Amino acid sequence: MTFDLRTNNNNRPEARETGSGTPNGNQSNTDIKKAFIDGKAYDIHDGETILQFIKRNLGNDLVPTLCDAPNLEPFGSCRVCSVDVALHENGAVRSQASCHTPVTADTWIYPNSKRIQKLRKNIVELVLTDHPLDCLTCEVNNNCELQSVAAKVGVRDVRYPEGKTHLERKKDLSHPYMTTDMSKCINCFRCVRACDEVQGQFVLSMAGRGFDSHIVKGSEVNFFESDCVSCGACAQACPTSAISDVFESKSIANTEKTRTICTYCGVGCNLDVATINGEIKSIQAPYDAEVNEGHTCLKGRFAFGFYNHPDRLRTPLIRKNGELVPASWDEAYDFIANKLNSIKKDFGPDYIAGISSARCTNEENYIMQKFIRAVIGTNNIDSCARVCHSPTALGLQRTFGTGAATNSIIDLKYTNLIMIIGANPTDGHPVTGAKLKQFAMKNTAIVIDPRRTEMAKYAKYHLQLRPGTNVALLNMMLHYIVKEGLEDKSFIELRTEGYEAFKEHILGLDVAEMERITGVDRNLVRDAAIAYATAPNAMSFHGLGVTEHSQGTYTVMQIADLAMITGNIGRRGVGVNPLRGQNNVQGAADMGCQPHQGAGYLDVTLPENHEKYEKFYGVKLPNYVGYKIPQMYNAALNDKLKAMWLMGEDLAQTDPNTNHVIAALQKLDLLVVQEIFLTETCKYAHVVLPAASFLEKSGTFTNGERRIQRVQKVVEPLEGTKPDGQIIADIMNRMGYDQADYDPDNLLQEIAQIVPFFAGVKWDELGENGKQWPVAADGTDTEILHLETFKRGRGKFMSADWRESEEIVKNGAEFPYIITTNRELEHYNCGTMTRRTKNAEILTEDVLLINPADAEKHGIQESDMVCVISARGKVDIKARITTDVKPGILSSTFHFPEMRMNDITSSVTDSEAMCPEYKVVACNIRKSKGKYKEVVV
Amino acid sequence: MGRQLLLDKVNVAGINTYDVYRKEGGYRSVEKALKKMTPEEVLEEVKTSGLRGRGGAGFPTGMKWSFIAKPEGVPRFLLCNADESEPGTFKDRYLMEKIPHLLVEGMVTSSYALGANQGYIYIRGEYMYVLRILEKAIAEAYQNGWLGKNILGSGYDFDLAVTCGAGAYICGEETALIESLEGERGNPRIKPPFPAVKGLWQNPTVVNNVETIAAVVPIINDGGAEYAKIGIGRSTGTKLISASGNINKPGVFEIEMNITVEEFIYSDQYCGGIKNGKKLKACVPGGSSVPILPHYLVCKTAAGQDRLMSYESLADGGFATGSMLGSGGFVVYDEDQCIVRNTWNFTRFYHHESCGQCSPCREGTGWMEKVLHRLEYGHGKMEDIDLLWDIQRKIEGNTICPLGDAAAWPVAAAIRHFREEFEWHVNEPVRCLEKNYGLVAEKVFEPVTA
Repeated sequence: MTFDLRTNNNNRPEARETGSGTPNGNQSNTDIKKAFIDGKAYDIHDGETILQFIKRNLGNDLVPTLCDAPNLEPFGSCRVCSVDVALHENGAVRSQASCHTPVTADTWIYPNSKRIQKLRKNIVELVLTDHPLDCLTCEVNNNCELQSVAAKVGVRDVRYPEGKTHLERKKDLSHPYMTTDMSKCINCFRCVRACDEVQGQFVLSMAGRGFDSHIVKGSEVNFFESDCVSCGACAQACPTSAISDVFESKSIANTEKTRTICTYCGVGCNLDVATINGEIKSIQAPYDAEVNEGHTCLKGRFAFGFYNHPDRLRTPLIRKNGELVPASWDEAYDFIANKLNSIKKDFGPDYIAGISSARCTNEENYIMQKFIRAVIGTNNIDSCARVCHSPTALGLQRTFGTGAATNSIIDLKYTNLIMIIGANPTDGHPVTGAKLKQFAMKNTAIVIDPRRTEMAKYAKYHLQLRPGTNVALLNMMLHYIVKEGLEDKSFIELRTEGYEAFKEHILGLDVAEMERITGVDRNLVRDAAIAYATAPNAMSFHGLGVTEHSQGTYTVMQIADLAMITGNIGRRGVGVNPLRGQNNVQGAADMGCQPHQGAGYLDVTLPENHEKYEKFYGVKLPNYVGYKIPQMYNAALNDKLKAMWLMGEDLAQTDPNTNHVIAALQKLDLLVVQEIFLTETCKYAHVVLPAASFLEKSGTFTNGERRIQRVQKVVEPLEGTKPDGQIIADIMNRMGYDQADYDPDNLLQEIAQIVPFFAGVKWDELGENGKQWPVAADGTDTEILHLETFKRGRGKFMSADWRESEEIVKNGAEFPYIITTNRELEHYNCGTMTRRTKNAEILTEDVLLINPADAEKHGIQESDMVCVISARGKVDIKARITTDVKPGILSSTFHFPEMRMNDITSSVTDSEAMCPEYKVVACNIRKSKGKYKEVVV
Repeated sequence: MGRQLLLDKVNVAGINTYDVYRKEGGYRSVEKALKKMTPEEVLEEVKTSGLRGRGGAGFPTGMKWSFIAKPEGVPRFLLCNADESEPGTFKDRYLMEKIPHLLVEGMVTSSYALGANQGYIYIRGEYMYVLRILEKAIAEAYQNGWLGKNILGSGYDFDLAVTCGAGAYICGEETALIESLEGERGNPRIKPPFPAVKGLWQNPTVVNNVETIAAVVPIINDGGAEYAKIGIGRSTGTKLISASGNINKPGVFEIEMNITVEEFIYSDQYCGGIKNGKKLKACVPGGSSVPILPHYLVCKTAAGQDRLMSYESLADGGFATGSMLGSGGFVVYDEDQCIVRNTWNFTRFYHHESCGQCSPCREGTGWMEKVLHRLEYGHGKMEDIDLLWDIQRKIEGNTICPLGDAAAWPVAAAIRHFREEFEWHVNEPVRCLEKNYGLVAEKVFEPVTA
């Protein structure tokens, strides 16, 4: 079933014809077929079922259903949707299940004939014979599909006498989130299908036959012991309360619902947050959300418990005599304003720097950079985009002209092949990850990753390269595409420049050398390259495994080269699609939280831009580039930086080479941190300002597909806290700049005037599903970039040679292993929020992935503590022995602060964008001595 | 005895071995098809023969084969449905056990017509010893070049394997069989798409019954036209009948499809009459799923004509006064048999075998069983008969696969033709129990659970 929610068909050139797999577009008008509903003729759309046909013409309520669900394939098991169908008017009727029977031209459909009404009533009566009928005390009372259908078909009594039932089944309350009460199961298979078709986890299945059929988890284990990833799709799909969650998310007691956007990654899932008396009760995913189509992951659905956690900061803190002590807002503002003014006066504005947050809204990011630029008077503004996707922005700007995803996630319905490079979407971007996994199960996928990720297990081609050799590997692919003559010559001719020099470079490469460097068989690379080049439509996705390298920007440019050389740009189902890490990493950069570009990516050094900004903000501005984050540390250590303002950024846990970071922070005269919890970084702060979480404020987030969506305040800010934007507005006023209070509507109006691609963005017009930028002044948005021409005119081919990372060159001999860092599904980055939810009961610690051969060499056994040593420091961590990493390669996460994984990561950064190289760390290992020794013996 | 096309050599010693089978003229159809005929010509012969599916539905085989989709580069499959589980049916087991090579030969010839290079025989788990027989026959066929690469130098490749079910009746339904073969739970699929378009692993697939595939052998050997001369009307050729019940000679008989039912029951060539000289009470002519016929409709149709052992004649009168040839599971009941008990027994089977996917069948078969049990054990009420009627009406035609119909029809026919006997069970609850179980009155009303 194609579940195409889009109604505004603006500017969307269709994907190349592939003969199959693509949904039908609008049919031609030449032969319109008709069928009759209750005697009245209606047009048929190709491929629709009787149920879709009836719903489209007469609304959702005419035909009751039980096993049908909006985001699942038709199944046909409950038979409640049966309708009478005759081949001619008043002809003999047959009952057919409307949900899976295709509608046939010139048939006569009677959705509610007497016969059918009786049939439905009888079927529901049969179902009710094995149902508890304890509706009044049931969690889903008044929000139960079985209850509604029973009411609709008018069952008044159950004629079947007592007999064998399943009412004695026990509840399963083993899981921190998921619950089951299978006495209420009606065997509709919706949970099984949701687990298969939406998440692709295959945890739930039906065991037993006939009357004994029952839902099982895994091999009849409980929820907690099963492979469940707690996405909650089954609970949301379940029409009764047979599967639900501890928050009783289907309970109608949650009377108020607010739609907002999830803050846990760049997918941008829409959430329906239910509140009761101003407290959050539960979260569900709306089916009409274009981004997540009724799905979300355990972070989005369940990990909201942090918001009123006792650890939340509730008052400003000022460091006095080495201790952080509570203070009033006025006291804190005065302290900060005085200090900043004196540093500005004594040293100059460039001795102050700010780091904005990709977790905050567009409006907050905008006002933050405005504060640093217009009030402080420096371009020393950066954001956490620096440490994740800055190479993507730069690389795509250089090749295409715009540093953003070229296509949309919905394009997965139109593509023929996906290539995933350095990304682990099933953990990092679970909802998009689930869609990619579904795609890979049915179609061709290429995965380029040093780890055998979940996606790699489903992919046809897994190119398991050594970390740090992306450039060499992609060069091999490009080489084979050119060598095999598979380039799209007309696209290259019409749309690009610089190809001849590029081709010469690519053909001159030494494949044998590349093969040796990457450790990937050249024939496998060749096959994958041919698959990518010959697919009618191919989409690439990449993540931090591309960007967090010393050659990150070059790798991004090669991905762009691959798309251009094969003509995979500018239509449905193709393109270069970075999987943006944080919920608003796109927006933080769009809003100008970078030292070289202001709001809307205008170069601050160009006179015309500089003048434009000065005029707009009404103050004098510097016209030279400021510090990027890594430069800030060096500046602080060299006494060139005296104050830093951090909006929701935990540098001390998340930035690499922790000791280096901490030394820099300790040198500062003033460190202001806006936070919701007392993070590792707060330990070095002079002032800590308690901020409101995303559930307590409004604004917009821009997701990885450039979709600007409305974040709506669900509950009032916790007492004592303020939205980040309000804090900045307050301090701006305190420092003499007239800034209105934080209000997304007003700020969007201001942004629309300075950011060209936000020209038509208006708070009231964003609607439920937002708009994808560029948004023209008339409000038209854009699903696909670079349709006819590239933003920069012609796409530019950029060639690059592989270079060994400085880290390996310098330390490789002494530290022969390479550790690469990654993420786990259950936790978000440094875990500040997720560790304060029950997610911490599901994933309790960071572990070290190590190949069995390496483990054996060092006498390490499963769960032994291992000491990982790099040139910077060492950490002790528990071993998990797995073949998911090759010998010589290690992998771990940094979700738990006590592990201090970033003690060992390096200060090497991308040569162009200065994104840190988290993915390649030279290290050595030994079985842990010290405090864990007793565990080992 | 009429002509024997399938069982003619059944009594030749060693016919289950390759050497004897070959000496007796086995594998000639493969030689003829692969050496002298195009696949289209083989298909034409089958169409000409008028052969209809022997599994129960009686769909014309040639037509089924002609529906198979033939997209470029996509493999096709022929599956043999040997999941013979219909109560009262045991003809396929007999055929496979006695002349396994006939099935193997039929598979090669049929697959050639379909352009399938891989075939599977899906056999029910209870037939494990037959599976061994088939495996041996397949191994012999490989050794002698009738299976494998480049058969008879024709360039045609065909591999055949036998695989077994795990005891589920539902896996005899073709899409459930495919699911099971794929390693999934044996639940029927919704149609369309039909297996001929998307079957095994989403590839075009034909599923045929054992007897159907075996019948292709004589059709190719002697020509479709010759085969079509046997029988009557659209019931051409011979049919294997599994005869059981209160008859003198139960067993598997190959009949020409124009003999009368009367001849079949009473002739010494076939059933040899009712056992112990009793009177005929009823007959289920085509396996447990088909409507039961009362004695006055067994040998004559409602119109008073002789009923023949043919698809059309057995169905004459529709469900009101007729039945179906079905799978040929011919069960005869004498005057002492209890129809309610028999219906309960059948229903118990369908309740046990419902896959549980569709709510009418999953819940409905259970309730029919409970109500019938209640009637049989003396707890019935008069309205139970109408309730039973109501439930079966809601199952029939309202399920994904025909198991629902198969469960509903015997109940409907029993009430239609034997309503008085149901009422008798309600009115005089003890009599049946005394008669059938020798129970004394005070024990009768002990609660008995299904």
